[in-house]
Amino acid sequence: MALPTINKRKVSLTQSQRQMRPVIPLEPENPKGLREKLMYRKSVDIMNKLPILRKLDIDKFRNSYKHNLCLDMLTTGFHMSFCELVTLIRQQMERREAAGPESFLWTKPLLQDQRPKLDLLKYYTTKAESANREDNIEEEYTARYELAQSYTHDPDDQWLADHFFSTCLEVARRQDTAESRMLAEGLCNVGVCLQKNHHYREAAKHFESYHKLSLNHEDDWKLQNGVSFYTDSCVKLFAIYTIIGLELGRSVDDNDNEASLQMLIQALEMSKKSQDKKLEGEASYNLGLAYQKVNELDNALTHLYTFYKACQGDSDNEGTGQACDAIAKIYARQGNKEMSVEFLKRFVELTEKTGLEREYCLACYNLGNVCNSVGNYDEATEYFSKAYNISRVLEDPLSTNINRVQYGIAVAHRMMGKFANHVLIGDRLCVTRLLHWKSCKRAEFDQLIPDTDPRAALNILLPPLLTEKDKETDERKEERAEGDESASDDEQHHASAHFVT
Amino acid sequence: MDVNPLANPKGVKLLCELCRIPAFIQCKGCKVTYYCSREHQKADAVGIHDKVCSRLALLRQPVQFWPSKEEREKRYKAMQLEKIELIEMARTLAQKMLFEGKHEESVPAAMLSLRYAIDVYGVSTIELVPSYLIMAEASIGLGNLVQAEEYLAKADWTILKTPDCTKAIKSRLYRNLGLLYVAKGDFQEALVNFADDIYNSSHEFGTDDIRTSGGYFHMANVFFRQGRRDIADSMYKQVISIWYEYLNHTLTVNISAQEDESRRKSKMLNSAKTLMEEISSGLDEAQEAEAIQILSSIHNIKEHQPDRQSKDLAQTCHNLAMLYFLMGDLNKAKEYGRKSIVASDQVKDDKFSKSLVEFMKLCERQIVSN
Repeated sequence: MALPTINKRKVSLTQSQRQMRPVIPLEPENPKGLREKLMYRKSVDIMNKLPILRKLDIDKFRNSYKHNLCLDMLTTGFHMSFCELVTLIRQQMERREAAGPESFLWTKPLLQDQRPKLDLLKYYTTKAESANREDNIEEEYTARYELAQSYTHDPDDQWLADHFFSTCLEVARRQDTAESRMLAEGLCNVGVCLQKNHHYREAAKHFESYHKLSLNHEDDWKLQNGVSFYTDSCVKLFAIYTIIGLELGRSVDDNDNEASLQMLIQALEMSKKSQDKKLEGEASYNLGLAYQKVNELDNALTHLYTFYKACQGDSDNEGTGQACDAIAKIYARQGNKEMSVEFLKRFVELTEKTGLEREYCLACYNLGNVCNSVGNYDEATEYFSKAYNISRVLEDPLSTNINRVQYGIAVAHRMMGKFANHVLIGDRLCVTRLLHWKSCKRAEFDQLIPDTDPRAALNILLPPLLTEKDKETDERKEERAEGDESASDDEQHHASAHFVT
Repeated sequence: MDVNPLANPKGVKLLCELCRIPAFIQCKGCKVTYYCSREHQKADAVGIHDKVCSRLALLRQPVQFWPSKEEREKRYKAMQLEKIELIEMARTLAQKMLFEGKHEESVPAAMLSLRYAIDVYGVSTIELVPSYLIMAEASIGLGNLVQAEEYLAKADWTILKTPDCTKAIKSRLYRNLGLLYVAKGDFQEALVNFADDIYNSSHEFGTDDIRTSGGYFHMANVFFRQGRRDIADSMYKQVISIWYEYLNHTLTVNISAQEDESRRKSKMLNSAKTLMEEISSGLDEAQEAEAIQILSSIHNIKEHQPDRQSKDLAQTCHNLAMLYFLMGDLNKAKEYGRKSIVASDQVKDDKFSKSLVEFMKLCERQIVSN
């Protein structure tokens, strides 16, 4: 049965005729002269010389770069790479759509518009695929690994790195031997990616398997810089445990705090295994702080001492300072004022030596606080005045204000005993002095009074002890009081007199 | 000059349904279709006419007069809808026959669809393209390459002139062009066209959709014929896994739906007997035919390939078994299931063998219940 032709004209050209048929331009109806005839002949020649366009040639002009790249991949038989590329492009589009046109993602260039990136992708994925076909797992892994590595520099491409690292891991898992260097490396890379994306738990799981694998090959598996995989895994595990632990520590739930402690203990173990004293010190410090939080002060002290020693061994002044500070705080909480003061003094000395202004200021402030609460007002005034001066030099308005108030309070405390004495005795001289002080704010209480009543000292009211926790609120209160001009309290009044001078 | 038979009303030319020359035979069923000869009537009857006879009678009756404009428009719209439905049906039928390899039989259906498409949408519109493509495929099957090229050129041009045409149509065009080049023996050009088919279809449906699998299949065939076995194998593998994914999914969905149904029934009627009454593959006739064509030819290839991977063969058989099961052909399903079990003996994949065993149990149950 004959099919109807589209045009009425019978098509009788055979296949070969059709291909060979030259394209003939229209002949002018009546050529005028030789010139036009020549032109016509010339155009026929040119037309015949033109190559017959194949589909690929046309596509070069008609299609997008990505389209042609995909066609090239497919015609050379790399369909898996093609699928991967299409999926990646689609993933990016979907994420972008989900984020919406006002998001930050929307402004980033798309993968499909970045030619060099597409080329790179094609080069490595096709390489991996041909290796896959030959069952050459090692080569496939290398191709994917290199591709992933090339994306680690740009944070925008992190998702690509994630993808290729996880495919690396899949490739490595296909290997027959259960323990391979490739698998370990793959696990480690995926763990790092997960950590970067804040999936800490899963990252920890990956690192744990990495650790287990590298345990048996401590000697023969080395990184490029000579560190063994085992040590590396310990360091990575330490980092991830610390992160998880600190994160858990921030929550209010008691269970979480317990879990946080467990994590930090694990981190400490890992740091011990890594044989890096510095890490060990850091882990101890974190653990110490965590113990302090749950009120196990003795444990906290032991760990902090470890940190202190580690820092001293390293002659890491900053770390030592931190350690001193933390230890002093714990002693303060235990009520062991002497030790607290001692450590704080060390802290102050250290910072003074090393010239760490900010830490020095903090150290003075803390020491002043402790002295204040112990009742050693002379020293308190001295340290607060140091702290005040330093913070003024540093031009930090917040700490300047706090130190100013504290300084004022300390001075007031120092004066209070004698002031009370004067009030109690109440003879003419004393009253004159009091009145004088009231009018011109110049204290003459230091001068001797002829006959002193020993009971006066009993009437002194000591200020309430400042605990670590409510220090903040106290400071705020004091700051507010500072602005209060009509402070009726004598102490406060006196203090404010000092701010001016 | 044509001779107009006296028996016809004046001005009415009765033309053969297939070849458009004056006709002398009338279909007894619908009385609106004419043929030039018995052969053409027979061909048409086998191709499509038996299925659309009554429908054509309705469509081709003289237009009745309706007094109001609204009524006329309503009738007209109803008629258009009817025609569109007819077009779709004819196309599916033609496509199915093509997949079954009955190229000659598919021509009448394709022509009917083309004729009505022109009637509804007008000349050189994008809606005609599917019909052109079917005609082209039939021509390729019949070995008439020049004709096929004509149709494809027409389709290509129409698509080029329609900037916003869907990628699905483009993909079909490139698939047919690829087939044409395969028939011509120009494998490189065929590859480019199949690649474009896969590209377009991937963007329309996704890389692992069953509608994309056809492109992979044809491409794999080309690589196979070029002797590049490794590539062909890897592509066949992908086709198999696409279908496996789809069929497995459909099967599980069907089973769970049936179980829900039967549970509800047993609650109401207190009968514990579970019966799978309605199973659907979710495919239309053409797609079913395509699936059978693709899977059985892969099966053939794999069976005769000495260095095949036994898992591929097992999975192909499993696919076919599931397909036949979904189509209701239980005996064939069992047969392929058994083949699959034999092939999977060397495969150390517990999950796969487990699913196979479960499938065989399902088959048994179904046969018993029928």
